[in-house]
Amino acid sequence: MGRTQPSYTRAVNEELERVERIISRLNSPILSSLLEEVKKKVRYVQSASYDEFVDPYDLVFFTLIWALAEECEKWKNMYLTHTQQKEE
Amino acid sequence: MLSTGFPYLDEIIKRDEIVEFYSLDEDLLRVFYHKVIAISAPVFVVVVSERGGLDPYLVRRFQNVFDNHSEVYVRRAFKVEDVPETIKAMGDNELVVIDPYHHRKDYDKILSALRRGKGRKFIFSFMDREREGSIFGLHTAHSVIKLVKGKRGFKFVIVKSVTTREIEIPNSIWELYGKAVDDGGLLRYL
Amino acid sequence: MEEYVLDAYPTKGGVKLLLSNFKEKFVKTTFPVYAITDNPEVVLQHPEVKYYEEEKWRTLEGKEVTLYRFEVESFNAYYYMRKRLNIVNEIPTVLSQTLYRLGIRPFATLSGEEGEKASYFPKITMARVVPLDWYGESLHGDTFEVEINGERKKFYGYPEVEADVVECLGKACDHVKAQVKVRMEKKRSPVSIKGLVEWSLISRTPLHEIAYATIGKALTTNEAWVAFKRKVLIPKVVPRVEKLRKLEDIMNADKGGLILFPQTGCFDNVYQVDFSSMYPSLIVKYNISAETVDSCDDITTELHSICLKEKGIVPEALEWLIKRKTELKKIDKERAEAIKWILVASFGYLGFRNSRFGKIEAYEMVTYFARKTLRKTMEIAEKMGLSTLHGIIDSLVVKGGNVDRFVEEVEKETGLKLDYKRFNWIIFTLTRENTPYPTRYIGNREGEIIAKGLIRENMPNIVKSFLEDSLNVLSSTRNCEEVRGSVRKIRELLEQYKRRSVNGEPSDYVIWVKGIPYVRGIKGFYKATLGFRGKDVDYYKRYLERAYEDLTKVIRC
Repeated sequence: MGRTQPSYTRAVNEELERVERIISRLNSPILSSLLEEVKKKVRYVQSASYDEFVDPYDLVFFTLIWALAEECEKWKNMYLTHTQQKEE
Repeated sequence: MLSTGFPYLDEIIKRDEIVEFYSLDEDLLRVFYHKVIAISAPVFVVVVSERGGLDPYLVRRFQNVFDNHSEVYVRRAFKVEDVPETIKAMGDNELVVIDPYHHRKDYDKILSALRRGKGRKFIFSFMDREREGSIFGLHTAHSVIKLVKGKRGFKFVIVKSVTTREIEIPNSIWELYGKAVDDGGLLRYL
Repeated sequence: MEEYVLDAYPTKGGVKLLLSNFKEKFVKTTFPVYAITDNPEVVLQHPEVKYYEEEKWRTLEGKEVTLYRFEVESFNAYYYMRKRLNIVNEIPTVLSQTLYRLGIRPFATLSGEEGEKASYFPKITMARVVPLDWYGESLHGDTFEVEINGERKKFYGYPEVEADVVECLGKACDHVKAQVKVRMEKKRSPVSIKGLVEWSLISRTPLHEIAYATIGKALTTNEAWVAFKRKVLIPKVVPRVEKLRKLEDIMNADKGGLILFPQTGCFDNVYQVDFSSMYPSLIVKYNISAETVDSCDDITTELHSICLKEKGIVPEALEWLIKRKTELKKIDKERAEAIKWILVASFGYLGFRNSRFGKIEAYEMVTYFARKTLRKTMEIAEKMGLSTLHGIIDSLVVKGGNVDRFVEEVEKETGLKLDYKRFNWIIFTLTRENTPYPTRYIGNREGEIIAKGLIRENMPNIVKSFLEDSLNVLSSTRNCEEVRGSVRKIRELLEQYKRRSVNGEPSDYVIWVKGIPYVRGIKGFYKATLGFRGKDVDYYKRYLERAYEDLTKVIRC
């Protein structure tokens, strides 16, 4: 635990809460579901960047990109399967 | 070079050896001194407290906003006996001191250490000067500025100044974060 | 049979020793009071100051200092001098220094039978006496629970307890005959009376000076003896100036131990690998102490350097304690636990602002090496084909591969000792927001259920019982599938407990919050000390259901 800098997990949580507040005012279901994914993944990004000097703010948005990338991958795979099935 | 980031304020306090900023709004003061540190870099900082006091990510963010990536040198003083020694160890450098009276005691030793170094000093104090001590430490070359949060922004209230009488200078909160607009400068408020 | 020294008090002209079998003895002596002063002659004017001697000591940094050791007749003179002079060397306490030079050791026999060895322990009677009320331990109950030398008994009336050393709560202290009584309300440490005796023994400090002390005092006293024997002066306060550093360098150092958020879900056949007393062992291994960090460059790191020319005060104190704990674990768990508390506090104390022998740079070195060590261990795990499911500061949960060889390799590479235990299965639990939680897990360790964070102190007793019984159900499961299958049995338990909540024992409904017992009645919470005044059955039923939901959510993983 750091003596001077805030607890990293707490700093990340604060950023997450801020993003959550903003999203709650936007009424976008896709953003809300993405946020749930971000919450699950963000701890692993924290673990992976432990020895780096990463701003918690950047960490949250990096995780968001990761969640988006997985979503894209999911749809890409569904599309490919679908077109393959059509060709058969 | 120590700077508050507000040119007209810097102008008013430019001859003051020790400038003390305080506020009843802790968050406001905290954001302010993080900005001051970022734009004054290269700068020497003494942080007085057992935990917290400085958020390095916030300093880094301000440094990105103001494009100043010079070094910030820090020494932390955890207990009251460490404070005067740590300040003295900074020598004659210009200093930012965060919450020197944190422990609420041994004021004279701390003050004497502050006055000893020849460099200018910006002090950020989480002490309500009006309630807890309005006159101690107010050397002739020492000014006191209060930050007050308002509805749409905040203002600097110059409580005691070497050069000016007591005046108030309002600002929008955006100016704190660097999105200032050049609106005629000091003349607007006199 | 010779008597043991149980406690000691300063009187005029000497020390009064309280011995076992209710005996006493007076020993004539003066007391040493060390001061830094320009004018020792002036001090002699006090009638109880007999004489002084000049001594050459040194500071922690190695600077020579002239000290005056005044020999005084009573503690009145000591307190008088304390107010007017710069007194140093007050830890170890003046009284314990006095006993030391008389050759008298607390809890040894008068003839000074060796008290150093772990195998030694005084043959005295120790007891714990607490009053019981309907809701549990209290200051005023009319029933008494007495534990004497390991045996527990209940007394429905005033107990007849006679013992050498006793810890007692509230009213119980009035009904106990003991040479030394420790009032439990005033205790500030989590050790039992036997643990306090152990502390008194190892720190050579009379029991009454340590009974109400914090773990920090026990720790500092042990470190102080090392300093004292080296003639390193121990001041009241050590003003510190931190090394000047760039902000980013402080941030790199200003971290705790490594924490890896665990994978969620249930895992079969895993091993928990722990470093034994990791932080104290690192302190000893790398010679980390205030005076060794940054004083020369024998070991250099990205953070600070460490000097190996002289053994540090903290490492020397801890090395002995680590060895003692290891030996005590085989002999007496309570005593080993008392030492464990001191070891646990030793790291934090290195960084504590009031610590005499630590400084922030030393603290940072410990966490630095801890992170490096855990990282290295994870690399070794990967190299040897084990997967790391979770890592937190000094412990890893791994799966697959040959654990024996893994542990052997890690011990060789890191130079530290490890312990490991097999789990039939382990489930890493989630927070309310469904994010991984590093310190919460449930696991079956060869039939014993370990459930971190599941049963909390401030839960009603009936809920605690329900959870304990539920965990019992899980203790016979051998893998994750069986765990999931046990939900039905736990559901049955829930129904049983819900029925019980309608008409249970009054103590079922007690909730302890910050040491005070409460009950939820129909009109709200009330203090149990006022007597049982009924319960709000719905509240307890709902609490049980919530506990069931939380538990089964985890089990269904």
